[in-house]
Amino acid sequence: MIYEKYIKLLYVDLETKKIRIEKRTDLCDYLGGVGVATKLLEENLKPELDVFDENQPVIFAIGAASTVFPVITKTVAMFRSPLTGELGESYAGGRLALTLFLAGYDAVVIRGKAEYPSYLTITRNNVEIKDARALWGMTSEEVGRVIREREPGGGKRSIIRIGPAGENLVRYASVCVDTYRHFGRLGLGAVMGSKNLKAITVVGDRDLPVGNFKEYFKVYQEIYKRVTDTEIMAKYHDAGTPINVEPLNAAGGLPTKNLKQSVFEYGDNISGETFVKKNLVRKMACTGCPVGCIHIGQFRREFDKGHDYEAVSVGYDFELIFALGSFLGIKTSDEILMMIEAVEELGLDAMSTGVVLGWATEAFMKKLVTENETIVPLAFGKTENYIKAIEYIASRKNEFYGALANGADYASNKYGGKDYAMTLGKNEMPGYHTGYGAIIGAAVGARHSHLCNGGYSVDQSMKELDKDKLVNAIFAEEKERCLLNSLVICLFARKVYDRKTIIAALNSIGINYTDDELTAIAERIYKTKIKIKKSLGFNQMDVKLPKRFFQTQSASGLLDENTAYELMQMYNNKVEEMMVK
Amino acid sequence: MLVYLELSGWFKRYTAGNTRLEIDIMPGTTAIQAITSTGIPESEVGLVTVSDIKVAHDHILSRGEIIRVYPIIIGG
Amino acid sequence: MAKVLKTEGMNKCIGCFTCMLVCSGVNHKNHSISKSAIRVKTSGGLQGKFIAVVCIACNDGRACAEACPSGALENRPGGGVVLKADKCIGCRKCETACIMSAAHFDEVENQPIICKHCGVCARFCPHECLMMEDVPNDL
Repeated sequence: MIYEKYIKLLYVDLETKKIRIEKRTDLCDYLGGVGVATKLLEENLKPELDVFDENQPVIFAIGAASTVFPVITKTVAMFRSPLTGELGESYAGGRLALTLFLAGYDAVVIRGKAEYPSYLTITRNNVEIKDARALWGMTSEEVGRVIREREPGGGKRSIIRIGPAGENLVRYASVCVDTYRHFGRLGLGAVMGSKNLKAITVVGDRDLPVGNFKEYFKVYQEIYKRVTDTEIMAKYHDAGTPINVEPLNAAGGLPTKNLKQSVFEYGDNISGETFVKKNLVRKMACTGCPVGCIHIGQFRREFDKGHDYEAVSVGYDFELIFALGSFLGIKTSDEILMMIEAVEELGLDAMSTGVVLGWATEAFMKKLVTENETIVPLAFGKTENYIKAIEYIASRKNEFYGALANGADYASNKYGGKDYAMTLGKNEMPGYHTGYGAIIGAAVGARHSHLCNGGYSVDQSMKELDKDKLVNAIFAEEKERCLLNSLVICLFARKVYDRKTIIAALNSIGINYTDDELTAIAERIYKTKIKIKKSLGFNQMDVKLPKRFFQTQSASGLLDENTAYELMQMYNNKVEEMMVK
Repeated sequence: MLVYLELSGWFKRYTAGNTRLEIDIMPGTTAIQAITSTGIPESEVGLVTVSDIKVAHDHILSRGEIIRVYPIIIGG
Repeated sequence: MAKVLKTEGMNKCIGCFTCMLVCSGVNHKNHSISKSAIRVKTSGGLQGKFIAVVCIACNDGRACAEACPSGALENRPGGGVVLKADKCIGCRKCETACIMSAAHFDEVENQPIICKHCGVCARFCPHECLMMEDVPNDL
């Protein structure tokens, strides 16, 4: 807790409707954010019980410097992932960090299952579990609207909510945060659904005097200047991450049509510039971030005969243009936005949905399944049928869609086609086929995301493969991000928050750590994550790398399967070495 | 000798809005030298292709070559 | 010459709340956005555009000052008012009187929070939605 020597926890039991406040001084050793959340997950997790057992915890945590400095905007959620069966770690921006901070909590631990569909409200001086029976089945937009009307606190409030997919325990169901942000990956939505928890709203407005204003504001201004003056921040605001489509496609690293290709012939039609020209209507930020990387695109839809049109706005980003675009051969920006809307309404992770549908399309083309299973014929580029398929996944319409709802790994185990079920550690792949770094990064990342260690960007800076350099770079970054995610910064600002800046920022709010101490904290957090993964039965060398990665050329050329497994082994050796230190 | 630069839209901010540039260089000039001579910072330059084939930044240019320049990949 | 705050660029507002964070920080040495004189909100959910609710620097009849029974709100050159905290009794009549709903109340300090047109928010707005404009001194 800022200016205090403890971490303030709120425990909520959805079944008994009882809450408990704790002030933990020992958790300061984990700084905040992912550090605190990891330790709390270790304490509260029941590895021997089913992932959806009511005793399993969901933990939300903010960090040591949340909100008080620019771009320290995120909240971390930790849980056991129903998709991978092991570590679940997900980040979201929006208003959640600010409101938790001003409500006065560092972390919230939710256990139990509510007797009937409920939503949780957290304010500075009250915590309540309320009736959400009428909201069960609603899309995330509808839920947001109802809660906004019903609950006070507009302007200093965050509303996080699940859609029908989470209610139906789709293993990659997401949680919508303040309309345009998400806890996207690894199925937090399903865990909340299993607890009958439809939404959480946090209102934050407590009084919080600045400790040492002169020191603090000096550092604030320095950081603010660097954030707003540098090119990289302008890039995130300008066309945003969709700017990646063109260079990735030109380099031959854009996963296309279930990674049968790494260049998309319609790449220009769905590039960042095209979205800007045709669809971009607005840019927004998470609270506390002067960049504003949220890009909102609009498309017109005729919803009835007689010229009845509506304008639909959805947020779009590079990963969505890949997963619900090039990966499925979708040729226009409008259609991609339509796909995004379908996924948003139902509360599904866009990336996993796209990759799962990519496998399903190829399985259908190769006749592993027929229309008996798929109900509608699936083909690359056929948006209309994909949208139906997305609805079928969210509702687990039949056995096949039930399997798809469990992920590409599960579905391919059942129906075949494992070579082209593009998952790494059971989490669907991200949008970079740049080289070994991208594959190994997601394979070894604690939560199997490209965000764990940015492996894909190592491919960019490496002219030729240097195995030791690659493995060391990924290992170092994985640990460093444990620190960054304890603050909890938005990773887009990671170049601004170098060690010197982190130390200055923390000092100015009374937290004094040396560089070495911060390194030790990062390692402590990483080791705890690995312990949790092992307790859930995870073994790095069990991870299989789908053969398709080595059949389609990457931006670094054709990759060799044996080299990839060798790199994974080298990384694992480093982890094992760290664990016994 | 003349070479031609075709720049990704992002670089317009460095070249007064131009995405197609004709520049006169000395023999032995590398791709990255030619590119940065227009005001584009080296740190912003990602993929570089000549005649649609990827080249290293220190590729030595020949007369009349068309150099395509893309920004670095960003993300989390 | 005097200066007043103008909010004419709100179509560019990204809702980052930096203006509120620095207003609270600089003017109240507080991390809470509740202390900010400028309040940015959506016109109904995040799909609506952002608006800034803040003192518009009335110079032709300052309703808040007129409503104040103890003379705690003095006319500010160029428009708006300046709070004399030691004269304030915390009656909240200024809050009700303000037609723009721009005066809100600090229950901890027991006094109103009204923008004093100091310009800090405009200085920190990353997309130039807020600016300080020169106006004639009307006093």
